[in-house]
Amino acid sequence: MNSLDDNTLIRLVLEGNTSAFDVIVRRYNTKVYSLAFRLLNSVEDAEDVAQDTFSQAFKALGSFRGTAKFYTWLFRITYNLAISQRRKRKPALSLNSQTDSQGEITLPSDDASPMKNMEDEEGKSMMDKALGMLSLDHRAGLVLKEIEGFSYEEIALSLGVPVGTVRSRLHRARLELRAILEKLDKERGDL
Amino acid sequence: MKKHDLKLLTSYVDGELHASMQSELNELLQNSSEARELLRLLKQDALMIRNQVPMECSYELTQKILAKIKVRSLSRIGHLNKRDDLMMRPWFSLVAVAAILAVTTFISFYAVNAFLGVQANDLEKAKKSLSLSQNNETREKKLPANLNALETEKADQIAMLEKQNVLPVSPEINKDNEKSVKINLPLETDKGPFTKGTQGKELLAAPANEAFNLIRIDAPLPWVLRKKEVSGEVSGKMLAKVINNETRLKIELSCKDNAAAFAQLKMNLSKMGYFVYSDVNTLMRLKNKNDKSPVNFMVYLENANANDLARLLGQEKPALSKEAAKVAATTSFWEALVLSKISTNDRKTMKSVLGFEPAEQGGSFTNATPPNETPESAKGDPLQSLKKNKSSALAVSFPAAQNLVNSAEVKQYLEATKSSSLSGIKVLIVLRTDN
Repeated sequence: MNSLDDNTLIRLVLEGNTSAFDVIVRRYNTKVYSLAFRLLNSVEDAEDVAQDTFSQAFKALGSFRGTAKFYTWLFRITYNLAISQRRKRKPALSLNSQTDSQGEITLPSDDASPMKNMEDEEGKSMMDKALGMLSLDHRAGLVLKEIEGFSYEEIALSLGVPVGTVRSRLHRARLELRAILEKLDKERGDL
Repeated sequence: MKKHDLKLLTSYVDGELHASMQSELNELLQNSSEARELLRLLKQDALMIRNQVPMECSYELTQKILAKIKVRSLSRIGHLNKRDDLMMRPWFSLVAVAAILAVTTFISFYAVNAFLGVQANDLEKAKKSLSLSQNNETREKKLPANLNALETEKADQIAMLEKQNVLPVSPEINKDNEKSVKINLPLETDKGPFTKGTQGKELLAAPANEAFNLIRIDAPLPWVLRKKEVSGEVSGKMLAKVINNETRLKIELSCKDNAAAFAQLKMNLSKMGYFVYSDVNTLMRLKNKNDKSPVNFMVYLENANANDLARLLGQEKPALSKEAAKVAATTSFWEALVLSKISTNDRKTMKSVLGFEPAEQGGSFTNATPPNETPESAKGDPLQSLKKNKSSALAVSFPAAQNLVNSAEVKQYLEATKSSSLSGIKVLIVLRTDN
């Protein structure tokens, strides 16, 4: 059953073979969880969203028309749930952000230029922070583009927005991310 | 840097730069060191995002997800999800506490009143003990008379209810559900529509199981108001009497060979002027007579009337045509049927399973298209034929294990029929196999 494509598995589930949905879960659980985590920066919230995503997908599987790829439909559920989850809790900058008493980001000190070592763990940590400071829409677009390798069209389907919106969001997201990274770099240099 | 130039760069990093813009980008990069630097940084950022440590879904989380799905799939059958959802709501605990407080207050109020009442009664008793003793004999004589009046009134009410729900019953179905309520009521032996001869047809009329897949319930069926053993013909008149005030009806047929019964039912419907819309899988299943896999069949009728139903079920000889009469006369594949109103739960189930539910109210009964007007319309495009016909039926199959028939065909059917203003009885017929 593992070799079956998504549409065949969905058909099997709709015909009553619920074990086919287990294959779907195992196929996409990491992607869904990963997306949820990138969007929410919280292990706990991401786990909740991942569970709810599959639960809702199973419930609404009959409404999946098959015109788009299944994973874009699944990611859309994840995205919508992440938005709801985010509304429920207080806004947070990042899971990894260490904030001082005034709520400002405290970065680990390093004499070397951070931009020079962006590929090391520290650099990754800075990227985490920068991504965490983006709006959810921008972050979702970037994650789907760079981590999932989605096209504009697939991102549009996943986020439920027109392709033109995806294009402009990604444009703004990249420039905003760049600006944040430069700001973080400058702050770090000042320390 | 110009906004357009920035867009060129980000589109390029996205991998979505149109071929016609490539030369423009090349020119920009050749002439602007600032653009070259920004492009390098943007590509570096993209690489950094891609290189982020992938988040693995833990084994425990996967198990949690699978368990949740399992519960949901069970709750689809057992309708457990409603309670779970309710319990999960944040306001549920508040409502529960409020309810407990209200009940406690209510009980306390009556307890105090009762206590005070007892004290008052003691005083009264002390004062009137002598005078009461004389009246006791009179009271004892009146009490049985009052009780008798109450019992008679109650019995009358029950009898009235029973009359309103006069529905035949099958002892065979009772075997499926040995613990079901058994009410032995006097038979209407000489009067009514059930007395015109015996054809061996046994009917059960009681609200059926909530799910279409007819899971056998071992618990008693508290909603059964009345069951009555009958033998005889089911006439349109009798059905009209039963369903006159209900425009939604659920009929469950228990068959030895439900595929054959379904085929017969479909044929009957066509002969009666219905356009029967079926899905490919069902047609294939009907063609393959060797296929004995447990598949349930379902027919959803709109714009039906009581006479249609009686003819359809093969219990009454149709008066319209000899051909139809011949077909109807052979319809005896089902051994028992369950006739009930489509309840709110049925509608909910229908909506969750099929993606639609019968209309809220159908209005007055209307006749189906006469048999001799239909076949032409069925020859062309099925959806067009469906739209043209006043009466239509959806005939689909679904696995016995799970009642999911939310297929493209069902959606097409609904799409084609949603604009029509259908009236009459909405009927859901489910055929199950007893194999």
